[in-house]
Amino acid sequence: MTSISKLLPVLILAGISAASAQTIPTPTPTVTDAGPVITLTTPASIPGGKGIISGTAKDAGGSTGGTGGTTTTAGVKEVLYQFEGETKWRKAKLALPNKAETTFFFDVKINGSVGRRIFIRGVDIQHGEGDIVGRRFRKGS
Amino acid sequence: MKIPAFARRRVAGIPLPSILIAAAVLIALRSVPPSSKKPAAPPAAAATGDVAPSPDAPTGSPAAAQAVPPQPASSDPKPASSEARRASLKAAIQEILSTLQGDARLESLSPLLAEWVQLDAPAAAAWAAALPAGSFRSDAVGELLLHWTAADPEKAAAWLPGSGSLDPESASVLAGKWATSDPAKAVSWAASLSNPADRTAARAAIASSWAARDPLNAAAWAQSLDPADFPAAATAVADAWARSAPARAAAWIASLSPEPNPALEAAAGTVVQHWTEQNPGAVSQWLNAMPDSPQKDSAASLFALAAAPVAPTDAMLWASNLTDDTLRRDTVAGVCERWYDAAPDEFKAQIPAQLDLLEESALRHGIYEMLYEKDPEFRLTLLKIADGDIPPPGADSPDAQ
Repeated sequence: MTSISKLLPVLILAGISAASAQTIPTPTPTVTDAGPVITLTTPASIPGGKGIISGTAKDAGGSTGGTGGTTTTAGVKEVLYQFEGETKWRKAKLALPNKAETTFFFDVKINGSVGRRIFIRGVDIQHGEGDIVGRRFRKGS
Repeated sequence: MKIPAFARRRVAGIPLPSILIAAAVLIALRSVPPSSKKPAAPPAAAATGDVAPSPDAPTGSPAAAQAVPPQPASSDPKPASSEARRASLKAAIQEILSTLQGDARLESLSPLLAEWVQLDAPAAAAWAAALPAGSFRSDAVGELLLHWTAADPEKAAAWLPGSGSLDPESASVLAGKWATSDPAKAVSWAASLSNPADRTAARAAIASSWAARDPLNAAAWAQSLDPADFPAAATAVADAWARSAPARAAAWIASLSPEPNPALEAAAGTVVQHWTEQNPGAVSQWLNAMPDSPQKDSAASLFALAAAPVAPTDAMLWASNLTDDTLRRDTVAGVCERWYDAAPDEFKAQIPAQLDLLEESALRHGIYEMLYEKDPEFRLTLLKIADGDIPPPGADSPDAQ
């Protein structure tokens, strides 16, 4: 019967060999970019159903992973909006394009007794896309 | 699923199935006398347990709606009738949820929710809050709050924060509706909201509703808010005020900050939009008096876009003189798109002359890109005119002589 003490060096050598045979994973540079955060400032009721929908888009920039990761430039490239049930995304007007924070605007006409739900998202200059924000806008008196 | 032809028909903009379902619901409801017209329950009824469920009872789930069939009208006391109406409503709502989608579903649901709120608002609220999270729950909660706030704003306001349905959208609906009847109480409720985003949305909605009736007091209140909530409230005041008195709204915005204030861009923008629709010449003078700044660029861009359908050449002049490169390119393209949409023949006749005024190739490219989608044939024509291959419309052609 072989004692464990005699086997130990073999086991250790085998372990070292196996370890050296493995490829040491190299950190892959990853880009984390959450995209602009949209905040709607227009109330849910639009007098007469006609007016401007506005809000702010804030971009924090992105960061590259790994050792010595860097922070990329922040900037809102565009804000897009879509009416529920449609496929087309339209461009909102930016007050300060490519800046880290900007106001956006677009004009709408809301008809119907229950109004329309509109989805809005931002894209930054690194092509990072932010979360979609939705709100139903109703025609107010 | 293939939709039958009859189901695609719309009457006065409302899908036919919505009308049929609504009609069926109304017939069913009319077969049950309103609870308010019934005599009070005799004491004996309570002794036998024949009483209406507590308003707080969990009767709001869709499953409960299916489990309780509509009860026929009887000469029995008020509670049975009330319960029957409730069951009829819930069955009708279930029918709508299983057959309709999108806005048609909400259009059909709205009058039923109004009825349910009158009958048993807490149960209606519990039902809406129990819907799966998503757009439809937001829609249903919004409709519920519009009806409940109109009938009993304090109870609606007490329910929302603990309901799990409080978010900027629902806060905006409730606060805006409440402020139409009692801005002071709406202001107090908004101040009690702990989440900053909910509070900001509620305050903007209050500012909008209040300013539509009393802009001076609404403006004074907006100015008293903390910096986090002020821009949204100021924008809402400006939007409401500019609809009736845009010059006064513009003067108010200008008085808020002696220096250009990025936080007030949206407020200035909405004033420009409404004012341009009413008196573009006055806006043009107002812009000319502003010092050069990003805010002036932003306001001038909005003015150009708003003026494009009615005064396109002026709009092109403003757009092509904006300072910021990207804003200038986007605004020129946007003005051309609105001009084309409003008067395509006039656009085609006059845009070649406008091209001569645009020295930057980037501005011209923006127009070509716009036409690539709208009118590819005219785009090719315009490119040939720009290259001198063919004369612009109206120009004397050597061949014609």
